Amino acid sequence: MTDNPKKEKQNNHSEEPIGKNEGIYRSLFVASRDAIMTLEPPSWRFTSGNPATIEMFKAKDEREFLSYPPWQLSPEFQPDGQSSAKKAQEMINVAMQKGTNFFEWVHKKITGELFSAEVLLSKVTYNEKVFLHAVIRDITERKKAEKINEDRLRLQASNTMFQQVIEAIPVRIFWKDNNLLYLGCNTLFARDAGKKTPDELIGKSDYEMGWKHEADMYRKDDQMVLLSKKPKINYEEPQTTPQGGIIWLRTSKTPLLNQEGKIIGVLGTYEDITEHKNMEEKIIDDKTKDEAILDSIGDAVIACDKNGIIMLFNNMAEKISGYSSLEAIGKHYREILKFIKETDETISEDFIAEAIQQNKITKIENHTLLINRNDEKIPIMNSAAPFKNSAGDIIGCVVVFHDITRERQIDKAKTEFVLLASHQLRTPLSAINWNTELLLLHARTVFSEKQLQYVEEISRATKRMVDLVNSLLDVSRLDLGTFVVQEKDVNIQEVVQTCLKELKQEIEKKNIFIQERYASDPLIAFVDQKILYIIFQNLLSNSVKYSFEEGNVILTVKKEKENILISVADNGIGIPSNEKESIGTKLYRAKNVQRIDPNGTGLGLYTVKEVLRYIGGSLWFESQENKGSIFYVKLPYKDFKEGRHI
Amino acid sequence: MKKILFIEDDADMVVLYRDALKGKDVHVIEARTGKEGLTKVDLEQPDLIILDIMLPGGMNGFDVLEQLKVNPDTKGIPVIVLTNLDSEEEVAKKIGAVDYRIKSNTSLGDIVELIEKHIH
Repeated sequence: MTDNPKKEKQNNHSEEPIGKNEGIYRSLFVASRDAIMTLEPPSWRFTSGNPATIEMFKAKDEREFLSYPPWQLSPEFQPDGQSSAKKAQEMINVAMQKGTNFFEWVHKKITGELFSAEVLLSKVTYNEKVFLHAVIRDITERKKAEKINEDRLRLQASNTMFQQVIEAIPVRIFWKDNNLLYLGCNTLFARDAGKKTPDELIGKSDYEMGWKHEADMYRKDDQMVLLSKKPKINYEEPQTTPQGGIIWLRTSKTPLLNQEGKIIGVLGTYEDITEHKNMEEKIIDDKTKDEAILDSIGDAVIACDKNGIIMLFNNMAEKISGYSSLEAIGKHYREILKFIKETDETISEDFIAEAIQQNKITKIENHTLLINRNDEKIPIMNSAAPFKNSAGDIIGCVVVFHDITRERQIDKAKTEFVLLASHQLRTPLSAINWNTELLLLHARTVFSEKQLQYVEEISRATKRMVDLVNSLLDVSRLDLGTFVVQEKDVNIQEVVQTCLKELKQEIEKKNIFIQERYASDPLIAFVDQKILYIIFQNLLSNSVKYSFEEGNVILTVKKEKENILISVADNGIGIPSNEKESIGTKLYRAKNVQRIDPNGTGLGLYTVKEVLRYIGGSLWFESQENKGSIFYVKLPYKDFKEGRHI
Repeated sequence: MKKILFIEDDADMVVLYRDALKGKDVHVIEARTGKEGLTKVDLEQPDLIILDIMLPGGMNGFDVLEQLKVNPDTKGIPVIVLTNLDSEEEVAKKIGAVDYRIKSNTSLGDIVELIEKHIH
């Protein structure tokens, strides 16, 4: 027999008769360090056992050994959970069928100790008798060595895994001992410390790192964790980088325990949140800036979400409404902002809801009042506009308005000034006018021809003064923006007749033939009568004034879709071509007309042009000196009421 | 004879009205303030009122016109507004004036014509 049962199996000596080598075998049997025994059917009890067997099983002698059936020299169960008795029979059967069977087995010594062994069962035929020859080798030591090796490998794998994990996760990991000296860290941490590998940190303190200025702060936290035995989680702190910059960390520290649960140090992790922090600061900065801008705007700015809940309420909104932003934010705008119409004080149409629902910019109607907290009614003006998210869905509404009390006061003052000026200028003019008129009634019988001429000149000059005042008033109203347009159904022929009546004297004096052409009779348009009067009065008086004796004036009034077209043509003195561009300029008068009528105001065509510009109309002309002029007017009119036409 | 009440603070103007109406079959009554005007309306029951707008004494022509038009006894009396204020025609007519003339733009002859139109 060799020391190795496996080799023996490989040599396949099992079926060889033992006979001639019995002497040799016997000596091997006795001297072998492997336990050798024989088992015989049908009981499969041991029939022999060499001294190594006796030693292995701790029997006193072979006799005692042979007194134990094989299953009593095994634990009840094998490591795989099978019953030893049952499994032993299976092993015997295999050996009997195949000739050999090599396997591992857990045996039990007579003293009760268990041990692992390799077993080689070989079927032997000797003198026509079949039995089994067993070689058992105690492999307890080998098993122990194997286990140590396995444990070592497992630990190695575990360490490798740990290293991989701490290197793979995007956080910095470090651990220190109770004296706060570094025991280890991952590479990310080592790099933050300005080192290449974690090994360079081991045994060092925070005072030796780039962040030595923060070392005391870090160590204080470490000591607190060690003393309290409680972790400190997710707090922000600065760190000086190896380059001297500052980064921001979100750190967690926890006590580090050994297997016995004893604190052996502190484990820390952190993330670099500098970018996040900068962005956060930028957002706060931007927000502060936006708020500062909104607060310094002279308009009230309010933002609501799509449900009408106020989200933003600036300084001016606070000032006008009387509510603080704290009171307003989170409330529905209807609780804070009450808008009424100035005219009848009914609730103003909800322009905010309209902006949100109809997705359009809505204007607060002119003449809207806001009732503030103190029940004061404040005239306001402006708009509401929906705002959308990046997907284009309406998510709320921005309302902007301002207090127009002061504008109102200014408007009122302007209007009052013009009103007063008109009254004060006209009153003495009416007195002169009427006194002259009465004087002229009697003058013809009392005055000489010369005296009569004086009085007539007073009358003409006064009328010119009245015209001038009227023109100046119109012009100043247009300039001040206080010209009030009041549209109504106007009979155009009636306005023309009024103007012609005023020009009667001059028309008759120069024997001018006036031709009137209207698109219909009567011609009724929904316009401002005053504007129509200004147009006809100026164009007709110019055409009469600048016509030659026996001249012809043709007035045409027709309608277009949205405009009234007026033309006044004469065959008078015309406009010199080099002065055409200046026509209609305030106080400008062409040279040729200055010769004929030195007293013109230079405001007539300017007033017509301005009043048309005011309402979106236009004035233009064609003219040739000494041949005549045609002035055209395009006057926009609003919708004609049903059933009416021109 | 028809009674015409001139509510006009300028006495010189009324002199002119009187002169212009000389020979017409009318009786001219005068009032210098709005308040006096309303009293004269009660007393005299005029057939026509010529009303100025800018009046002293805290009651302007519009106030007078409004009071006249809310009183059932006086609301039927035609009122012509004769003033040097313009742009007020719409307001005056809304309250109930039958006509509106700007003094400086109107001759005395036209005023007489207008008066005759409203009293006949």
